[in-house]
Amino acid sequence: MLVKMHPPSIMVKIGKQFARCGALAGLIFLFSADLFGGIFFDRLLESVVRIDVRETTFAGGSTRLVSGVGSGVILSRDGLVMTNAHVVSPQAVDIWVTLANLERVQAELLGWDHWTDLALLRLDMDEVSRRKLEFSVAKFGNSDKLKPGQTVYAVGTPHGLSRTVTKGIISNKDRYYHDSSGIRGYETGFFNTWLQTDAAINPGNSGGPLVNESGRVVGINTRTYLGADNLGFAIPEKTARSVMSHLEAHGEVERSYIGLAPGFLQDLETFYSLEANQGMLINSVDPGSPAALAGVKASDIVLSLNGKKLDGRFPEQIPPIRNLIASYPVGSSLTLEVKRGGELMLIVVETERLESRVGDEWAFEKWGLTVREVSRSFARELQLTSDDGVVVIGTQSAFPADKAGLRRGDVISKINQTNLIGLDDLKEIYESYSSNPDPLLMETLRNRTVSFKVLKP
Amino acid sequence: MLLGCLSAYPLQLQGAPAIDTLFEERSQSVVVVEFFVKTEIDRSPMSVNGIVIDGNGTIQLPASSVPSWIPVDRLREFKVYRLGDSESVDAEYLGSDRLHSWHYVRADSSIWPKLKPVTDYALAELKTGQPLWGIGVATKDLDFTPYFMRAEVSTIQKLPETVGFATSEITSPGSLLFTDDGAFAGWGSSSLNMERYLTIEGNRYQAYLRKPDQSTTFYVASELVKTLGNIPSSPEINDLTWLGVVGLQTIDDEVAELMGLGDRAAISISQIIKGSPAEKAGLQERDMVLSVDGVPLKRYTPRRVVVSDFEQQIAKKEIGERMTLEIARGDSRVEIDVTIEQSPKLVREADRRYFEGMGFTIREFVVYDNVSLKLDLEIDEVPGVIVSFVKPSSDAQTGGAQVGDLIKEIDGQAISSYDQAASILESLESDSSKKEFVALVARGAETAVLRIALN
Repeated sequence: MLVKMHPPSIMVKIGKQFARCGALAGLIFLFSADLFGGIFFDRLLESVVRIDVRETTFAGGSTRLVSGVGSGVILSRDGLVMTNAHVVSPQAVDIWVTLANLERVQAELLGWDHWTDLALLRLDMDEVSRRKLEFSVAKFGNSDKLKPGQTVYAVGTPHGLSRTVTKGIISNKDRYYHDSSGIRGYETGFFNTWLQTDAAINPGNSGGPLVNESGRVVGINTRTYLGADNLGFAIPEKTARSVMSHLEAHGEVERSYIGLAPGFLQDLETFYSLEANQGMLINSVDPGSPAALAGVKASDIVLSLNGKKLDGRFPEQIPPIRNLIASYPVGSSLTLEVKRGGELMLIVVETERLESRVGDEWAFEKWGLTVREVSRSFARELQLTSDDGVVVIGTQSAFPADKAGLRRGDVISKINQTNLIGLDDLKEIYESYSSNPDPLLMETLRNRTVSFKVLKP
Repeated sequence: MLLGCLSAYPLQLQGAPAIDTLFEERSQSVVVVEFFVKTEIDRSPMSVNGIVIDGNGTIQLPASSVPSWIPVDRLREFKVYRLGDSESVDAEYLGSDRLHSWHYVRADSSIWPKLKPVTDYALAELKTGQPLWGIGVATKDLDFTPYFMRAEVSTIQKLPETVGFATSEITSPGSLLFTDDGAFAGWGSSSLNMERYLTIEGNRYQAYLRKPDQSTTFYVASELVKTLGNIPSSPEINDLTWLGVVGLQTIDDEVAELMGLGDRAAISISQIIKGSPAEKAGLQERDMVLSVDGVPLKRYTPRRVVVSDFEQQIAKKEIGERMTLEIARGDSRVEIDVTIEQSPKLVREADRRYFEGMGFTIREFVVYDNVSLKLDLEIDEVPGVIVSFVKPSSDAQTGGAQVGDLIKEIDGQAISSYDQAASILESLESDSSKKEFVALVARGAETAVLRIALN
């Protein structure tokens, strides 16, 4: 059954242009090494897989299948495969993994985390043992120990070319980049920094490993600047390893949320008369969030969190702070030491569960209508007064929803003059409409303008 | 073509002068007005056609000739050209009409004798298929020479102004058209978008094309003359009336029927501005307006015209006048008496000031910003000032300021009035010991802390 749904997208995130990436500051050392070719490296090559996925999309007013190709790396004897969240999502209908020995086996999705763009699969191990399939297992290295200039290799399936190896160096190991709707509308990149490499990374490399000279996995290749030369980005091993253990155990990574959007303090220390190297500037506080309710204000400086000093002067220092907040169990009380003008204060904030802006999706096939639940975060983004209702993500030409005048982006707020709380309400209405198709009066909101539409057979 | 017309309309043309004579004389009723809009760092030149409406050199210009948000003091150096004449005379901007937003200028008295007001002509009664001719206006390098155009009446619609459509281009926007016997037929409005398909290297594109210099549509003269010359007492005056309702939508026929309104025309109200006449009178969001002062709303085709008509009815009211609205609210009907008030300050009237050193302009916050920024504030609440201009590569731009930002705090001080913000920025600009300042701005649902250098 399809439970969670998303907007459509091309499978291969690699190839998607970065919206916000800082200036390039890669130090390039000439670094010679002759370790290539060792037995570990051969083993690594045997652990890289090609992943073919078909998944459901709800974009066009009906459910459709789209297919894509990506890469992955086998990380355990019992068949765990790490790849990108934008390669395999919960809408995947079937996932085929091609092993290095050109055997194909199905896999299932164990867990998914769009925030770090990682997904964890398990090979169908019954099938593997029945067919006596063999594969190698890659080992993680240590991304903290990487140095700019160090040689690395990217392995994957660029443009469908299986097990392509490209070579480069670590260009920068602390790149900051986030995108609030980068993975089919889902947020990504807030909780980790990125490894930057000049090893050629192309569409299809997504989910493949970035390895050091001894064949250890130091990152998962994820993104590249299209149109630029050799600006590739990988999720560091440190992030991947921790997300992997959460996904294996729980199928997700639960994170805490308090609603702060940090800014960079960069050069403002004197302005705020701060001790050097301390403090995180608050750029924005989400309305209605725990931090807002506790009285945190934009332009406050958070000096410490539960006694731990914060240093958020530069962009690359922000993800670790966000990750620190996120790593507390949901419902934790965080004590923020806040500087506001000349005043110092302690503010206690109770964390909530972090949720995506993307709500559940569904297709109402007879109406030619696909919708998404309005999440709290989406409601805030659109400055809606409540998170009730569903938002139209697609209509099919000449179907009832299209004829009624519903358009992508309309928020359906009422049906037959009764408030529509969410997707479940609409499913119920759809059921009764199917048995008794009386015209429905829909009230929609678009940029706060209220319109009325009649949906009829 | 002319012969054909003569045989078709022999009676009307009896005794009427030849078309070329009429054309020459009627061309004296059309002028070209040039002016420029001054911005912080640029001047943008404008050139529009207008018509002479009286013997005192008053020229009426189309609504689109001056965008409504531009402050009057930025409209500079008005000049009037007669068609076919390379010499201009100075003119004065008189302001705009609150009903139709037409603009008025007065030309220097030296050319009054050479102008001919449209009120001198008989008015045409238009019929479908009737031949008309119009005055096209050439470009400046051709001395705005008038040229002859011809077409027939295609249809006439109430939108809610009476608008005529010709079978092909018949005049230039802002110029005139006449019948063969010289009766005043219409005033050219802007041309319609034409849907076209472009094929470029095998790819098909849908495009909407609009001719800037020729138009098929016009305001019908017999109705137009009733509303000519509604000149304000001063260009700066705000005599606009308002109700304080936002997001008006025509209810379509099916919805009306489903809501039990039968075949009545209705308008739904999306938002009520706090402190507005509508709120004081007890109007509520999602109320449906059915009639005004006892007269049911007219079912115009297309239906969206019902909204324009309602807006015009509000505009026609005097400040302090009452308006009785019949409202459908859920299943009940209520009658609401509203006292129409003067509109709050318009964006174009808002105080503004350019801080050249920093490279940005702040503008006074007005009630209408409440709507566009989705703030839902009380009518007298001032949450800050608006950034209305950012100079490219200035310190303000480098610091991240964007047009439309709402500045809520400067150096930690909450901004609660325009004067306060202006004086803080003024002292910052003159304080040579300060190297930078920090501003908290709101932008959509988020805020940002900007650091702007001071030089």
